[in-house]
Amino acid sequence: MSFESWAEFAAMGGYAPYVFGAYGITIAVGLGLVIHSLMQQSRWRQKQSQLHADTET
Amino acid sequence: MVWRWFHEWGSPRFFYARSGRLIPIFAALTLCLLSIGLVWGLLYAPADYQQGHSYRIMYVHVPAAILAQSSYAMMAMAAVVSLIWRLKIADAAMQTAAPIGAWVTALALVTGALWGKPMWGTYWVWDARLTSTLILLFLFAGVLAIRQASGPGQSAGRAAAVLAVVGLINLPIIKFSVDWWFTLHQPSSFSITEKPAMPIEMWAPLLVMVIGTYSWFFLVWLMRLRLEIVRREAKADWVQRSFQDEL
Repeated sequence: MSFESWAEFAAMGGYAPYVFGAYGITIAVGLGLVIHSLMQQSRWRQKQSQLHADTET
Repeated sequence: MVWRWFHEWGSPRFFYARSGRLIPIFAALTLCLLSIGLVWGLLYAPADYQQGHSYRIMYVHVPAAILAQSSYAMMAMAAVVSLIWRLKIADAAMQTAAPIGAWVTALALVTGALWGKPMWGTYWVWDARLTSTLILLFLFAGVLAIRQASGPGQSAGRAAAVLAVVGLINLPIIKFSVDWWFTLHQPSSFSITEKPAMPIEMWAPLLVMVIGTYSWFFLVWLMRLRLEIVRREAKADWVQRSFQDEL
């Protein structure tokens, strides 16, 4: 590890807001797009099963 | 042989049936590579002798910037196939690549700004590299907007496909902008022909991040493309049947 302690890691040599900001935004977008895609999928499935239920009754 | 392959994978039904198996593979690959790469880059890679720890932004910025450009190239390739061979699936591939590419380009710009502030003293300069990357974002947004405004069907996607192909001219401009014009931006981190300027302890985690980011892109692209296919083919028998199987 290139840090002596967690406090040193959290400080990031004085660049903490920039480094953690960049990583945070990247992880948010990366996870966000996966979650959004999954939600779109399940929404479509729900709509389809409703359509099926409507035609059967 | 190649033509048969092309025909099979160009069929929405065949593509949907076969591509489903790739999802868990890309999901596992993405999870492994990105978690290794993030921890390695953030905790274990040595500090830079000039930039200190701020250079760790590279591990998210460079993969985003590389993917921004190659996802545009992939989207434009799909556009070419859609224009020449009128494949429905190519049009859907172009349409679903556009929003992902736009997000990745935005990410490259934002992480670059967060790196620029401590190193150059400014979030933004209107130089060739940054401006041409901003144009890339507008191109993605333009292709997406035109595609969504033109309605369903492969032929409706042709205006957006033409824009995507014309926009390819921007890629070499981004690539060579750091050589052609004076810029604050540093030259490429990776090159196929030359050895990296960094020691292996620094570029190995970067390579893991780049491959992981590509895998993430294919995962999200595939998920969206598969949904777009069943949306467009919703009335087809095979969609109804595969849907009932899943219930």
